[in-house]
Amino acid sequence: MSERTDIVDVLVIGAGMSGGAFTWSLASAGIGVMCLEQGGWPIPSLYPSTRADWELHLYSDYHFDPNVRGLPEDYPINTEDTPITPFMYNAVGGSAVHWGAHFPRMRPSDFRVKTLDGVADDWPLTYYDLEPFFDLNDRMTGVAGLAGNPAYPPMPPRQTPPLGIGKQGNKLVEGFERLGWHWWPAESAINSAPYDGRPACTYGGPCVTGCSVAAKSSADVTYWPKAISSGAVLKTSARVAEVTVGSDGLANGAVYYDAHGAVQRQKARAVVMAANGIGTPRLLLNSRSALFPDGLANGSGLVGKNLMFHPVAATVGIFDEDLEAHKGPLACSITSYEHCETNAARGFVRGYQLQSNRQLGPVNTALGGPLEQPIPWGAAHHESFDARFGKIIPLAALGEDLPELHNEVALGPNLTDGHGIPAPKVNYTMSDNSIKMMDDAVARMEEVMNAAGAVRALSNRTLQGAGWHLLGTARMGSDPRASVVDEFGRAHDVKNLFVIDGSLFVTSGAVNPTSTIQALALRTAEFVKRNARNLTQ
Amino acid sequence: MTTHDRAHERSLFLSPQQRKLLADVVDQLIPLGDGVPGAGEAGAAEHVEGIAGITPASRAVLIGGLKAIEANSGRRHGTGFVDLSDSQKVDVLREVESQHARFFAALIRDSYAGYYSNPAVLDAKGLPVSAPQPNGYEIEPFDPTLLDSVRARGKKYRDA
Repeated sequence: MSERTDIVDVLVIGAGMSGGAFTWSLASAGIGVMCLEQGGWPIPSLYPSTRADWELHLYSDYHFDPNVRGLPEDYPINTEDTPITPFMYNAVGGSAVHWGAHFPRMRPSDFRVKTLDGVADDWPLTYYDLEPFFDLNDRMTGVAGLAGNPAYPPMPPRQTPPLGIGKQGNKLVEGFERLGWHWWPAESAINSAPYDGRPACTYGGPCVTGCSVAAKSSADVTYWPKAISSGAVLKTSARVAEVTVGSDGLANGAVYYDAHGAVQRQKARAVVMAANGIGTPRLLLNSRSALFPDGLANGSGLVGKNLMFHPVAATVGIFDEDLEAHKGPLACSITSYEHCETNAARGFVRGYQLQSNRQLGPVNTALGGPLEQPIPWGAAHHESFDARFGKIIPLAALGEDLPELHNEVALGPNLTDGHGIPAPKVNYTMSDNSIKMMDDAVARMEEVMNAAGAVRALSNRTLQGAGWHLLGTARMGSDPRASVVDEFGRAHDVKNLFVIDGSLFVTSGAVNPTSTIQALALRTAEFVKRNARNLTQ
Repeated sequence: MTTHDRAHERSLFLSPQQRKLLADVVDQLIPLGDGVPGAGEAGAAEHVEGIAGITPASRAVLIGGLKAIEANSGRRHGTGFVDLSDSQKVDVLREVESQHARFFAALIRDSYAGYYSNPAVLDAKGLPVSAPQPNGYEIEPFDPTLLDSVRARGKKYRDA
């Protein structure tokens, strides 16, 4: 092992959406930051989206599931005991490289579920504590959307107008309007017009196989270029094995494998975990020492516990007209907050957001898309395909998951990554509350499809491929016995160790988490900047 | 090298007889249509074989499934699958589908993927053939007046 003699002020582990935002904030204030990322820089000219056979890549080297993709920078995940398959991507920009780019904020009640609904826990901060960081993050990212959404407190004008919703979106609007339900154009981290030196979306479609035009605002094209020009150091192909601690119980750096497989040690005055809701608890649990025999910062025993996904149900409406469903950004069209807040009459607490998607390509259509059930083979095959391509509206219900101790990221027995580092195992079951919620969501989605004039509506109550959002596994709170970190992401047990990714979430809200993850990262960055001289006290 | 590249190396491993059988099977999954080729003619069998060739385990699943099809055909009709009528072939495949779910799910997945990524098929069906980016499509701008009624329905969140 080579011991580097330089000591960086702050060492960030992971160059995804939280790591990018945090590193930019510190570097632009003149603080020395180094980031270690196990993946490499994405190469936009090689994105599958630029190739005629783009859809095949979704089932091989660009699969959302790292177990299928199996690239050298991926680590395996034992998923034997979860009905939802976790997804991630390992690169500068993180999982946002293959992200749909939904960018809603969590909403005020999402931070107060114990007080309002008597379940789970309140967060140690409010929507309004985060509001200035939401606003800053929106400016840095560039959000397409429209201010004035009645489902949110007032917010400043969005950076670019809403994305076009096309024939398909307009058709679905008819359904929402007939029912009198709330709907609004999606908040999208996609330029609908040129912004911040990047061009507008060309409505090509499959953002999830990479945005080669750089209209999608993943951190590799937003925060990272600015962070690096401000002096931040980003090391790619650097896989961290453990965070190290000194005899004083403080974090003092990390051990990692470099691009050549050699073991390196980087010293630091503070360490920041930005490796996502599976990677961060995996690393903390792997960072065992005499002082921390159960894993680093795990005095509460909650590192890895309370894993939340967002359970997703999907309904596909089939129409008898060409809706040009494959045109436009896959995930971002219209959203509805009609069913988000608790309604005791429904038999479950909290709720779900509806979001309409566009269609992927012919392969995904034949394989059933979000229904996860291929269209029939045999004599009826062509008729079934022709009834769907271009003529469908996929609608997804994204449900608020509540924390449960038994849902967890543990270390998988007998499973390691390419460097021999113990890999994670996910143990997860859907709660009765989530099952009732998704049953209700399916009924409501079929209702709106019928109201929009669908010929048929088909549904999938439990989407297996829904593990985009990895949350809750190093939760924040004010009580060190009931949480891993405080409201600034600072570990209760290790004062110079911070967590800034989705692991922080106390509850999950019913919205996509990236905007909130980044706002939390920027708030922690502000705290670190203000307290840079006494982070060890 | 990625799994995608490996699949496209065409690591073919079936015998000529197995390959003929597989082409006949995929033709039942996606038959010849009105102006569009069947899956056999469209090369879906080669894609199935290429994907299965990536690992020894997936090779074994494909070979085992093809043997099950031949065995079922022999048991029910006393002859090989390729010599059956179309309706007999469908009956055999329905039974194999119910008894060998893992094989059949992979067969469907890779047959559909091979078929619907063939430019000749896409062209014949009038589907987009070229890469979706960077040229993309035209979509008209969002019309904000659509939201007048939503605004009129009022606040939709609980403050906290």
